[in-house]
Amino acid sequence: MNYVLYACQRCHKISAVAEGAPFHCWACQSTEGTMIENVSGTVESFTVLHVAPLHYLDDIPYGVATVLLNNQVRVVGRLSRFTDLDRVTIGTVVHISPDERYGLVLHPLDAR
Amino acid sequence: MRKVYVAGVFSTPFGKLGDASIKSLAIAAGIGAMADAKVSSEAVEHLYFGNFAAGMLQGQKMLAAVVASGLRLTLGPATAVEGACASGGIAFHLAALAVATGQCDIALAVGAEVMTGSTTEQVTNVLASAMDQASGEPLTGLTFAGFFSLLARRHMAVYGTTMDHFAYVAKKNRDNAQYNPRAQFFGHPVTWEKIQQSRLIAEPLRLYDCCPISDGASAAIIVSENVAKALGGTMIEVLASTQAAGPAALQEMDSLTSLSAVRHAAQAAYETAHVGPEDIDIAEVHDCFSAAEVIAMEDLGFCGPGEGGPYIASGSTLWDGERPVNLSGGLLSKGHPVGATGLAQVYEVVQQLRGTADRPARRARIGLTHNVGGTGGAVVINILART
Ligand SMILES: [Zn+2]
Repeated sequence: MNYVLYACQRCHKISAVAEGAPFHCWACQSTEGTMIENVSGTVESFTVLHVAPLHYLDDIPYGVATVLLNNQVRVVGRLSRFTDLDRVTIGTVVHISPDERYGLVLHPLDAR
Repeated sequence: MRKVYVAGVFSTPFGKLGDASIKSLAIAAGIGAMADAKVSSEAVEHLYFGNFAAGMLQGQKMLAAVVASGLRLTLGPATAVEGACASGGIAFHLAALAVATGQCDIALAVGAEVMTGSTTEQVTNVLASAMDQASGEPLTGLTFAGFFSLLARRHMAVYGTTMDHFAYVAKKNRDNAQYNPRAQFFGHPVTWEKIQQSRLIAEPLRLYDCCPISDGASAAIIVSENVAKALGGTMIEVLASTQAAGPAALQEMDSLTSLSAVRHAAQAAYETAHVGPEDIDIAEVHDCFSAAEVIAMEDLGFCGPGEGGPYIASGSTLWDGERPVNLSGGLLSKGHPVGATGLAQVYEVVQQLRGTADRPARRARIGLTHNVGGTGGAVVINILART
């Protein structure tokens, strides 16, 4: 299934939505959203997980980061598996894409 | 509102308790608290029961009724509450509220959890259920250790907090636990080197920055002023018991270096109790991860924003410091049976205020407990005083 990104018109939070499915903001329940593309932001904080929930054991170690968009909205995403985790720092610019499995995937522009 | 007192407390040892069922632990804690208060089960009017994971890990729900029946409580309502790691604190808060509002004169609050029979991955899974699933954040594979690691790294970047500051929390609380025979790591001291070289759990946090998986139960008897006077003994008054709600998702937090619900609950508690942070002699705080204790110092007003690391490193929160924090060993070394923790904090503070703790603080007239559920989604602050 393909996923697309929507920004809520009311609270500006980002949601990953299955293509064709109605938008429904997870944070404020608004149904008024705008599809957005080419979303990027900067890493606000990040961690590398060495102990994982059951369904993620095969991914260890993996990175999760919080990212601030231009409008200061924060999103949380999985760092792409192509990321060189040693090169991620606060301030790293990432491109954000929706993902069926991980919700949002972050693609660092300069840490591959 | 009427004055409210803690007349009895009890806590089982925390740790790997073998085949003990959640029912047997909860009943042991309830009986212990009633015995400590010298009240019979026939006199207890309300029961509030805190638990997080029994429905998922043991397939046991309806625990308030199970425990009430086991304790032969027949007078009034038995209510279970769930607020992740703050479940026990919420049970205490509701019991205090029931007495304060005149709904009853004697209430029992019990918190219990059994977790060590499950694998780390199962427990990690269950804990992740305390995050807002609709936010999509759990899909990333984020864990609670990961959540506090994100806060830790941001705190380091913004304020210059160091891994040594976090290690200092881990060392202090492990040292304190060596005086607490109920602590999971009683008899298991660790060295600086071992803390700093332990395996990574969620970078930058390491094994000793994380609380263990534990079993245990704790309880308290909360009574009105008349009952407290009739029972005799040291009068421990609940000057304030406040609860606040906060975000259950990172995306809704106003900042990664502070938990808004702690600030709100603390402010309300200080106003209700007519005291300030400077009046708190001792505190039991929710150090589920070492970084959480650093942030707690700031959110509780013990020091300014960003000063938590240097404040702890200065020795101010040691046993012989100006305001000892987590003399019990804290969650990090006493253990963290999730639903019991908030009431275990009350147990430790009450023993300190009575002067009957295993290692009494030099000065303990006013004590504070700080119990945090999930990502700061539910917070309970209590201020207790010997009056
Ligand atoms: Zn919205």
